[in-house]
Amino acid sequence: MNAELFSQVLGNLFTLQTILALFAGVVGGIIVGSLPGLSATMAVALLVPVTFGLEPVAGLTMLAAIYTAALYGGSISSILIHTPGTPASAATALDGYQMTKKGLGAKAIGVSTVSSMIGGFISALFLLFLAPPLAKISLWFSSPEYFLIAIFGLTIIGSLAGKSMAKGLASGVIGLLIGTVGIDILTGYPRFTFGSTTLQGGVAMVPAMIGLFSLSQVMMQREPKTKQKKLKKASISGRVLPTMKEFKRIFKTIIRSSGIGTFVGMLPGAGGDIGSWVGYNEAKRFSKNKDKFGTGIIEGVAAPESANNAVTGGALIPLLTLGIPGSSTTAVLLGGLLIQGLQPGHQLFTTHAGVTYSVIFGFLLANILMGIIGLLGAKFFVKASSISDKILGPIIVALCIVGAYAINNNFFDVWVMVFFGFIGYLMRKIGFHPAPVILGMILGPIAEKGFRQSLVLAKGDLLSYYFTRPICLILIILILLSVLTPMVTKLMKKRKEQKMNLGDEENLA
Amino acid sequence: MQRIHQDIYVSIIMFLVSIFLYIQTLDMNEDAVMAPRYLLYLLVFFAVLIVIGGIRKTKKMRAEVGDHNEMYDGEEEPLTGKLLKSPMITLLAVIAYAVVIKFLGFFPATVLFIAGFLWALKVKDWKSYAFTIVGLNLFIYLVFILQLNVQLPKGILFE
Repeated sequence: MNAELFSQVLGNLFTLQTILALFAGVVGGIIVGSLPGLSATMAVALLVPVTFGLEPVAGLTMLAAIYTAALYGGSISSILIHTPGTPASAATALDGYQMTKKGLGAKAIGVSTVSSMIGGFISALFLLFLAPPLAKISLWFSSPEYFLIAIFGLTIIGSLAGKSMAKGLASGVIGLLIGTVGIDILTGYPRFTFGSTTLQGGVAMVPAMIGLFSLSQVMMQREPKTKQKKLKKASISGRVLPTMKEFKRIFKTIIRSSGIGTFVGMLPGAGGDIGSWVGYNEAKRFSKNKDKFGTGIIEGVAAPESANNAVTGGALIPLLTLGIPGSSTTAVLLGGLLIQGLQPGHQLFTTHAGVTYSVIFGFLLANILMGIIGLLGAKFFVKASSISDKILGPIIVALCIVGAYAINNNFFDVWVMVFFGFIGYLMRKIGFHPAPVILGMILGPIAEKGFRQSLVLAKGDLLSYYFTRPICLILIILILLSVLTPMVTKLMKKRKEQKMNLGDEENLA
Repeated sequence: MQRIHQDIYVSIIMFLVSIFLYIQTLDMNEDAVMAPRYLLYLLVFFAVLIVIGGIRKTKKMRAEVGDHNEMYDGEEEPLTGKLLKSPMITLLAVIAYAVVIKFLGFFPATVLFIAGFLWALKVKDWKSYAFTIVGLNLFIYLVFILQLNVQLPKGILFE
């Protein structure tokens, strides 16, 4: 990055709009993350329409800030009420809640804040230095590679699928089918438009995302609460900031977990939840006091928290360089990127370098700001985390409606959002995850265009055309690995369980 | 009546939707139809897998092996009237809210919706009503109208 670009980045970042967006993203992200049941994906989906009207730098920085701040916010309720605000904070509850029980809740939040800030900051540095050279790979891409990259992105459905792989993959196919709605770009023929002119441009992605992730969430909150625990009102007192001695104690753990988190984030399908568990386990493995983990020690909070925030920067690397979203949140972020007219790949770091580097630096700043705001406002966020879902419900619904409408100033999109909210709710209840639908909708048209163009380029010999291109071969191997890994892991887990059951039976005998 | 796992109903719906969409593809252009057709074949394939799983789960349920809820994973739950009642009322309220926006405009409809929602959930504290209604409308006005220049619907009655 040269001096001219750097001054452009500074000029982009230090505008009133960007600073306000950054601040709003961090505060909003922490609050949403701290509320059990509301996810980072939901917050990002809800705010994509807001960012659409902003300058690209301000808008995208805000989304990145929400993403990282929500993951940190999840630790607050995890520590105080033993209810993770996001799945990525589940590991934090082990030691965090034990610290709260000992009267050290404020300290646990302080450790979590500092660890999250450092984890996110380190991953942002990785993003800054790794993404530009990696993006050069996309220069060698042509139609077949774009087709395979889209397919590779789709294969992460396997890891998002939950218990039933068939349902997860079926969700992906449903998304792909929705992606075919509208005028076919190569022939100009309308597909599944049912005579509607509004559908000729396809199903609007942002209203669909808002419905699937946000409205469906409000509907879930209204279910009879037999299974849900009533949350206690939390409060903290005492010193939040860790002492120098404590900081020195956790420093190595934070650095190790940050590296782990960044690496896990780069892997498609492995999100913040996996990152935090791996970070926690590794911290335990390297520790001299293994048996103290789970009893309320600061390392047990520092490890998962630095890892899950480091996942964010790691996950942005394949997203910005190749357009591969590694999780549901990054799939929604990809939507935010595309509606700003920015296509992932080499061009992001050349033609749009000013915007891209500004967003990366904004992401760095967001992590620092998150640390400062988190430490100063810990007591406020604790109070915010106990807002009742009775109040949140109508607020989210109103934001869903205004967000769906604002993207095109079109009321039809509000109905699209409501329809997808209904579908999203039912899908979640019958075991179909909504994230693959969005992945299918985004990546389907890219895959179809790439495949049909490569059919023409192959001049009738598709197989040898694909197999004589080195990047295609690498991508095919990656696709196979990505498809087979979850199946093999599942099989191994099943066998392990069977062995354990057999062992138990033998012991009983 | 003997119990049937809901996956069987789900797969039947998937078959019916696939057939309906397949019929829609019959008069499509040869090039344009390729992707939707293959995707529909895939959807039918997954519907077959789900029906097989559903039959297996139904047999297990009928044999009364363990807790019936063990057949459901994560957020997945058997769709009963009791479970769906409140979420569906919420959905109807959202639809009604959207319809009222068409007539009264965004802001009056939002005030009515929030007040109605909080009242239906038996929120009694007047401060919750005041802060939610004023705070949210102010936020939307500042962000969407002043900052983003969005023309929110004014309603048929006020246009």
